[in-house]
Amino acid sequence: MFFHNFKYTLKVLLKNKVLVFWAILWPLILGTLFYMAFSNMASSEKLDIINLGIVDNEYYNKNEYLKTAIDNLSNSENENQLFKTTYEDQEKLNEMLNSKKIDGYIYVDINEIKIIVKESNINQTIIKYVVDEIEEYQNLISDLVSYKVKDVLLNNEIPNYDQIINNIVIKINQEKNYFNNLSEKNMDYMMIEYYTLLAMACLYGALLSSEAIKNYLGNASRKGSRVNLAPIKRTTLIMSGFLATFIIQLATITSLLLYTIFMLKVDYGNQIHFVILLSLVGSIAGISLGFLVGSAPFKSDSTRNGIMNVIVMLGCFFAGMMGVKMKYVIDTNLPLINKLNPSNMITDGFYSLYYYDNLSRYYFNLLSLLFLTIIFIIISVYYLRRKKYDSI
Amino acid sequence: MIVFKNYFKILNKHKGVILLYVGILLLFTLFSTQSNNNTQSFVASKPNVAVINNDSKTEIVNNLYRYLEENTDIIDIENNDSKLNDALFYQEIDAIIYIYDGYTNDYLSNKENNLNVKYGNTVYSSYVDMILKRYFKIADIVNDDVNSTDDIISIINNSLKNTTEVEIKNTLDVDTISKASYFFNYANYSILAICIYSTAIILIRFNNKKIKNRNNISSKKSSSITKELYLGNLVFVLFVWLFVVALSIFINKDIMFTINGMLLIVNSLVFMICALSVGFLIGIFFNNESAIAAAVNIIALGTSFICGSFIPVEYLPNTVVAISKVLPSYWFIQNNNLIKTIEVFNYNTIIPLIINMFIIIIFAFSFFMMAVIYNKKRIKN
Repeated sequence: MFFHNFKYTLKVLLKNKVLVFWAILWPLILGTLFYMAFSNMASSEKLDIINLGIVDNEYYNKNEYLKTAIDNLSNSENENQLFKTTYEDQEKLNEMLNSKKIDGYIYVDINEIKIIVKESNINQTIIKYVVDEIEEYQNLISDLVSYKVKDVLLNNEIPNYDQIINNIVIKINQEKNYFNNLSEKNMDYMMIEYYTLLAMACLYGALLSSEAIKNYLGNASRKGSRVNLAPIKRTTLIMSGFLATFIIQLATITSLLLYTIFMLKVDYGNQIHFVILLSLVGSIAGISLGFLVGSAPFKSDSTRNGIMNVIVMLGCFFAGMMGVKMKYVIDTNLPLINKLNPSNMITDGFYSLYYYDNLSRYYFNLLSLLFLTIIFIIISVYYLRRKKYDSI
Repeated sequence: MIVFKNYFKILNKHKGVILLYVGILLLFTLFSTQSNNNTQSFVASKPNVAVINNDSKTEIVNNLYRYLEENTDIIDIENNDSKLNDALFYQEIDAIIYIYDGYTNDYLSNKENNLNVKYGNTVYSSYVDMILKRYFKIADIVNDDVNSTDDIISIINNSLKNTTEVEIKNTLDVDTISKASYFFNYANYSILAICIYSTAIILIRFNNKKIKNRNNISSKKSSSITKELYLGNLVFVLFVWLFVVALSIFINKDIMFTINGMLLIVNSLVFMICALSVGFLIGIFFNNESAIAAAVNIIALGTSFICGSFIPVEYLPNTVVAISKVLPSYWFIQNNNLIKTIEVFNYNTIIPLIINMFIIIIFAFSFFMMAVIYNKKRIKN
């Protein structure tokens, strides 16, 4: 009887087109949309070469410091190239600025250097930074020279200006390392979007299991009333239903994992066995959520679906699906919400595998999810056991 | 007008879903208002950094703090590894600078004094790197030649005085008009979702075989039913459009009454008509509500992702942009982006807008025609 019910639950669920769409196809479609929209985001976060204009006049050509610096930073063979520079008259540069072909331009006059821009953004800030830096080194040279000269004169010696200036210029041109860079490698925060997608797919197992349980409850559907007349233990019914939904869920998650890893190039870190473990536990959590909502005494199907959608989709929203920053905002300001949010437990578990070296945060999320699953199952059992109907 | 009345009765039964889409629109409205460019004068962009100081508050450390306060926004985050790393990953901060215990002594005695830093993955992180290198390079050079702490600090600070004048050349209030343009870009999702859902759901109800048979034997002419349905659609869509416009005026105020603002409004009306035609097509093609819910999600969310509504077009891969050109949302969003940049209105600047609107109208016309032809074929069968 177990296999009979298992087979028919599998058939009933897979023939329900709406269910198949939302639980199986929708995560794949959404993943593809994410990929189409976000695949360029990582490279757009890098500092791009800035389009800079220079008013080509005699004052610019006479300003050796500025000219050399700009030439260096515009050299395409230089690995630290910062600018792609255009030399034109002011009228032409204004036109280019208006059509956004350049981010800004530098105008050198008899006694000042001016930057003309159209907006205040990071590229314009960097242009100002470079011009400022040139002035700063000029300030530094003059300050240090006067300090050194004073020092030499106090010792009743004659200062050698050329040597002093040369020493400072050599130091300015010296490349030195001032920091130990401890930056992490895995910093692509768009990965969170895909993790929330996997969380959604895991928890959408609830749609399958609540549909399955509906067919075993006498008061939930006509089919349920008929099934209840059959001389089968309820445990057999539920366990076979659980197995059927779990098999479908397993196939869904496996295909989603394979699709995201091989087609969408999603990075889950190096510990794939932990990724699989979390996906399995997430799927069981989803199925038990469906059992809970399906067996709870709600009056209509739409209430059941509404509650499941709120738990899953609002949960995904808090876990960062509709804007990764949201996860951080909730994690830092309302941590309890995300500690109780199954979508976030799965997302955060994947995030910790991707970003952190130690597994403590991963285990915390995994255990929280298991704990929540047990609670869901206990409440479901409470609703399901010893239920009898006088009249339906 | 019984059909017209019934139209709104049916909509009323589905108000939950429609209100959900309105809620999403309000949420997007919040997103679109979060931009703070100042266009009146140049304001240098400031990256966010966290500084963990394990040294004493010496003059040297205080001076570094002063410099960082001028050039960055120092964010106060609890000194906890996990919290700091999370903040860096989620781009709350762009870098973390760790000042170790004994740094001042090492610096003043010219010993190795490299600080530990962690950078994020943003353009701003690269900028923090530049800002830090500038300070530490100058501090290092000064320290070689100068002995007293006061002199070191005074020369560092004097060198770092940046005085380059930056002029902003703009006659447009770019910030406000950009916000308005973002608002309409984001509205792509809600406009499509509301128009498609409401139009399609009504059509499905009226095309239900039993209801259709009842309507056919009633004394009311079929053409009158159709007219009242069209009227219902038109009134509802106009109401939605007025709501979107009112919302845009509420958040962007005066800028909506400029020519740029008016063009954004007209553009949204043209797009609204196109969304209505998509709803018609979906309503004719499908015959159950679950299929409509799926279609709404795929169309509204799909176009928003690949046409530049959620992610600006310039960040989308070229192939995606090429694909999105076969969708009306692309031309709607393209127009919104164009309108925010127009300063002078003349033939050359207006003509691209008109062409884009014309393309949207051609899409709308094609969808209507497809719906009509499909419907006629279905009735014949």
